[in-house]
Amino acid sequence: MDLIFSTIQDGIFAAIASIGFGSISNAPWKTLKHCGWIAAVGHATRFLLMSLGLHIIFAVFAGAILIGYFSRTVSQRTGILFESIAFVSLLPMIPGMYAYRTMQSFISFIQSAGYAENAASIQMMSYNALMTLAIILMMAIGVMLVPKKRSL
Amino acid sequence: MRTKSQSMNNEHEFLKLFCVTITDYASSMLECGALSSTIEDSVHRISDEYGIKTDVSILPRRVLIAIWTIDQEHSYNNIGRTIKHGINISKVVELSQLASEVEATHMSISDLQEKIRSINSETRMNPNLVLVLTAMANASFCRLFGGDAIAMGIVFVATLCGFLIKQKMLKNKFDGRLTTFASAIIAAIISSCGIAYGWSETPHTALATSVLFLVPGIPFLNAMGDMLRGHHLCTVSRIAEAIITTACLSLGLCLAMLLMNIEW
Repeated sequence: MDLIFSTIQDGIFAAIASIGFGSISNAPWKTLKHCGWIAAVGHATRFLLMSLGLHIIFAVFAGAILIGYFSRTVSQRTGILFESIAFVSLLPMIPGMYAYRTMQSFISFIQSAGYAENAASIQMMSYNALMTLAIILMMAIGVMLVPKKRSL
Repeated sequence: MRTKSQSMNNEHEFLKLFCVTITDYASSMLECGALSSTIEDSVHRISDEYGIKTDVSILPRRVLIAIWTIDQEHSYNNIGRTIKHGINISKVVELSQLASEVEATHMSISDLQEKIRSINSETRMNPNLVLVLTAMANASFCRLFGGDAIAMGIVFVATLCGFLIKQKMLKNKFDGRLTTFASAIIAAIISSCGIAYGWSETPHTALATSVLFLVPGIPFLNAMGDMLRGHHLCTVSRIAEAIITTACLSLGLCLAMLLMNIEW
């Protein structure tokens, strides 16, 4: 019961995040209103799967496939470009923390002295960089896997 | 459709006008952040409608257009340059819908040119509204990473100030990278109040999420989208830009942590 409640909560906050970050890129309202609920579904799926113990990469992939499916449906019903719905809905899942931790560990690598400290920083840096790349790649693949439907 | 071009007295005038218009169209799409495959697709749909063969190559900041008549008698070439305005999804959506409109209504080229001009002159969303929405979005991001209500409040205020700085600096034509750096410092310093005064249960989450509104999400996704569709040159340029922005924001965050004497 607790898990269901926190999944719904996660979805609601993801919707707010998607709409807000979409507005920075000047996404129109007709797109944003769809992006809100699609992002909620995608992010809540990711949260649920990660709570059940799945690795973040697979959870992101599953969420992205759902986002791709719903974006394709909305895109074919309304004539709005598919990528602009899907990419704005994916924004809450962007691994921002991994991205800037890469740079942080790069700075600690420069500052650090001694072999052990150096090795730890470089390991942190490559881990964060590769995670960022893998997650974003999985998001894009998941969304683009969804084929065009012939008719609705 | 072929009859349309024949009916014009001078085929060259028609071709020239079409070439200028389609270059305008493609470079507008590129500068507001459309995927390369979307640009190619839309350009081909429009030129098929007017009975013209178009070849478009997309470079990081230029579009090369070559057009031919179907019988390969006459041709024109043009290079479109882009001006950086930042990503504008509204324009991408409307320009791609314009291609469907051309297919449906068979509008004349001067009408098409007029429509492209009117889409290009549209204003962006109200900056104050964007400011509030972004602050709310970043506050809910803090919640997604497990921050409590006070941390959310701190992030809201920090984002409000950081994004305001970004808007003002961009309006005054400051460099984009400097802008990211400055607004990351401001947001991070304000959100480190939580740690300094012990205001929240999760002050470190507040600090870590306060700069996330600057992460270039759409350029990262565009880069991957281009890569999956084989436009590797555009991938490299887009990802380089995204990495530079990310580096600037993390440098700002690190400097703020150094100033506030916080371990990372």
